Order: sequence, then C-alpha cells, then structure tokens
Amino acid sequence: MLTKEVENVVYLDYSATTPVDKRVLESFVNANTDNYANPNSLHEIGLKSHRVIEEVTQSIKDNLKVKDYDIIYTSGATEANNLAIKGCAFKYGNKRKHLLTSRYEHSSVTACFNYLADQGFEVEVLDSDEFGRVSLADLKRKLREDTLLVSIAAVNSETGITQDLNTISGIIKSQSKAYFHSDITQALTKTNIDVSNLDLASFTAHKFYGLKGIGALVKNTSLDLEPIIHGGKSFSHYRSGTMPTPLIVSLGKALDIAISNQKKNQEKISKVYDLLIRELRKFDSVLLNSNQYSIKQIVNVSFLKVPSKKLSEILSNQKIFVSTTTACASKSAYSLAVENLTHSKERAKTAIRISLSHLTTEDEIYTLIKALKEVL
Amino acid sequence: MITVKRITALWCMSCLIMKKTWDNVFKNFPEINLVDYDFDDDYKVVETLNIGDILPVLIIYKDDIEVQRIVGEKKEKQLNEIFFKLNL
Repeated sequence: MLTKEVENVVYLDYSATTPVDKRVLESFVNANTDNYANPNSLHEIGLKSHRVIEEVTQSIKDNLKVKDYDIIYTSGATEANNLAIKGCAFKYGNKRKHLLTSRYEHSSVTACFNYLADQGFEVEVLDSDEFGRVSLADLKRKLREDTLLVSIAAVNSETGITQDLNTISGIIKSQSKAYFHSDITQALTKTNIDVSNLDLASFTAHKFYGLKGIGALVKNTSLDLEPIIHGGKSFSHYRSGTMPTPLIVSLGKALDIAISNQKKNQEKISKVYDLLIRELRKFDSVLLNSNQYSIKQIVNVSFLKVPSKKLSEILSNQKIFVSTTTACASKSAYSLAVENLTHSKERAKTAIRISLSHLTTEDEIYTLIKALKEVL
Repeated sequence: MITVKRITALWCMSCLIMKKTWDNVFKNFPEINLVDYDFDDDYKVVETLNIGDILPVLIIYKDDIEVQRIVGEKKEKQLNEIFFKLNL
C-alpha cells in the first residue's frame, strides 16, 4: 500500500519529505469528487463538505489526544510557525515583548523571531548543553514576567536531537505566564509527543506520508491569535481562504495511518538504524553527530575525508539520496547545527544527514555502505 | 570615518543571536556609520562583497578602505576590543 514509485533508488532523505501513502492519495482523489463543494457555502453539499472537515478535525484531535484545542489548517509548517509566533506577538505584544527561542530551530521560526526583533520585540536565544538540548537552567534564568512566548522545536531536523518538552513546559508554566509553542514537524508520528503540554504546535503532512501543501497549527482555545492572512469569513477566523477539503481529508488520513502504525514502524526503523550504526562504526574518520537524544529516523554523520556536498553528489550519481545542509550564505554545504553541537568546522563541512523510514530496507543500507566504502 | 557594512538574513540564527550584542557594542561607538544589507533583499550589493559561506558578516572600512571582516558569532568583549583598536 505504501509508495516508493521510483525504482532502483535508495532514498534516505525521509526527513526532507516522504513519498505519499497510496491510501492517503486515494482519500485525496476521492474527496475531490465526493466533497468538492466550498465548505463555506450554505447549500446541502457545502454543508456536507463542512461536516467532513469537522469530522477530520475531531479525528486529528483524537489522534493528538487533545480536547480544548483548535486545529487551524495551513499550507504547511512554515505558515503554521508564522501564524503561531507572529500571531501571538501581534495579539499580545503591546504588553509583553520578551520572546525566547532555541538555537536549533527551523529557518521559518528563526525568520519570524528576526522579523519581530526588527519590530521592537526583545528576542533571546536559550543556551544549549553539550548534547544540543536546551539548558533548563538558562530557561529558568531567562524567563521573565513579560515573557510572552517560548518557541522550541521538538526535534532538530538536522541532528534529530529531541527536546524535553514536558519538563520545559512545566518550567514555563510554573515560572511565568508565557505561552509555549513547538514546531513538532519532525517529532509527530516519530515520538510520543504530548501536545496537551503545549499552547501551540505546528506540523505538516508531508513528513508522515501525506501530501505537500497542507499542515496545521494546533492551538489551545484559551489563547487568541492575530491572523496573518486576512480575507473573507472562512472555516477558521484565524486563517482566511477557502478550506481545501480534499487536502484536509488527506491530512487526517495520513495522521491516522501514521499514528496507528507508529509502534510497528518504529520497530522496523530500529532494525535498520542498528545496522546502519554498526556499519558506520567500522569506518575510520567517521564521526556521529547525532547522539543518544536523537530520534532513530535521523542519523547525522561526518565523513571527515570528503566535503559533504561532494559526497552527496557522488552518492546521488549512484541513485543514493541523502541530505546536506546548505551554508548560510552560499551553496556550499555547511551545517551550523553540527558546528554548534561539535564545535568543529571540519565536522560541519563534512556532515551528511541520513534519514530513515519503515520503508528503508537492510539491502538499501548495505548499498549505501558499499558506495561509501568505494569513496572513503 | 569608520563605516561598518553589516550583512544579515532573516533566517539566520547567528544573526538573531548577535542582535543584542551588536546593540550593546554600537551604543559605545555612536560615531560609526552602520549600513545594513539583507542577504536576500540586497543580493546585488551583497554579491559584490564576496562574503563567503557564513553569516553574519561585518565589514569595517576606515576612510573607505576595508580594514577588517568579522564573520559569524562573536562575544561582546571581542567586538569592543576590535573597535577600540581602530582608534575611534
């Protein structure tokens, strides 16, 4: 039922995006004919579309185990992050202007904070420990009475390092009135994340075998936001625009499948992960950048002899697809996350992200290892 | 006359981290002429500056002659020392 349509390739870039599950695609195609009406229309088939969205919304809330939350559909995690951070800042920023974030965020989160800093907000970046985890002591130190929002990604997309959101949430709630946002894009369906500890959570469907172009912001109903997209009255006043019923249906389906198979998929991933790590450890001059706090779906590793861009190209020519991080200001490969974590420019220049899935086979790992042996 | 060209980008974490430090440092040197360039919006100018791989970049000019480049994250103390040495 699952798709990996392009044959004879070794796809190891699942954290960038996943191939769509055929059942998800089918749900999308069917919804385009069964529920094409505008859910804002008041006629019979419009109301039907509206009901379908309500049902999907309830199933998403059930899967996330949240009750008093809104699901605001967006084009993806970038828009959800923008709505969460800027929407919160614009709504409450006249009284509280202090914002906190971490060093290991997606660029869409960093961009929002840079933007808000330019608008007069005071933004501080929390220190991290040697494992790339947010320093709880620094969080306690930096939380203030006027702290409005804390935003910390659940899992770093480059290194796979997880953050202890439950403890962080406890500190924030006990010590301040700040809202807590997390970009859970890389964590959802991969970790047992407790969304009810968060006020705001962003995610996108295409990281768990859904379609590109649909994501959501999960918002505690006690919190209000200033919309960042204005328009007519729609399904949610937080996000104008006609709701794409088929995409929403596909999102609900993707989440349903991924959550119900999470344990089984994790077991499959553990096996290929163990094999990969075992084989990588046999190489000289190979250093793991991911650590004991990383999810097994993401293995960040530095092959010290070969710049990552070159290695990625060599592997790509053999139809083995892994990921590199582009440098800040050029197209050369350089991982700032790895440099921050390891304090090594060499490791940052030679870092490769191998991301695994339950679709990854042992044969694919052996193919990768064989190719690496020829290069190194 | 000291001019500092500062190249940053919205998506740059190191630029975000440095914001407060810069505010503190440049307060000490009000005579510096600070010119900001956004890596994306001002790409035509930025291209001519050959800034390399890492942001942020500060390019310091003394009487229109480039005297130093500061690349990436730096401590407040380091920046203060650099500007003091320029005999402002």
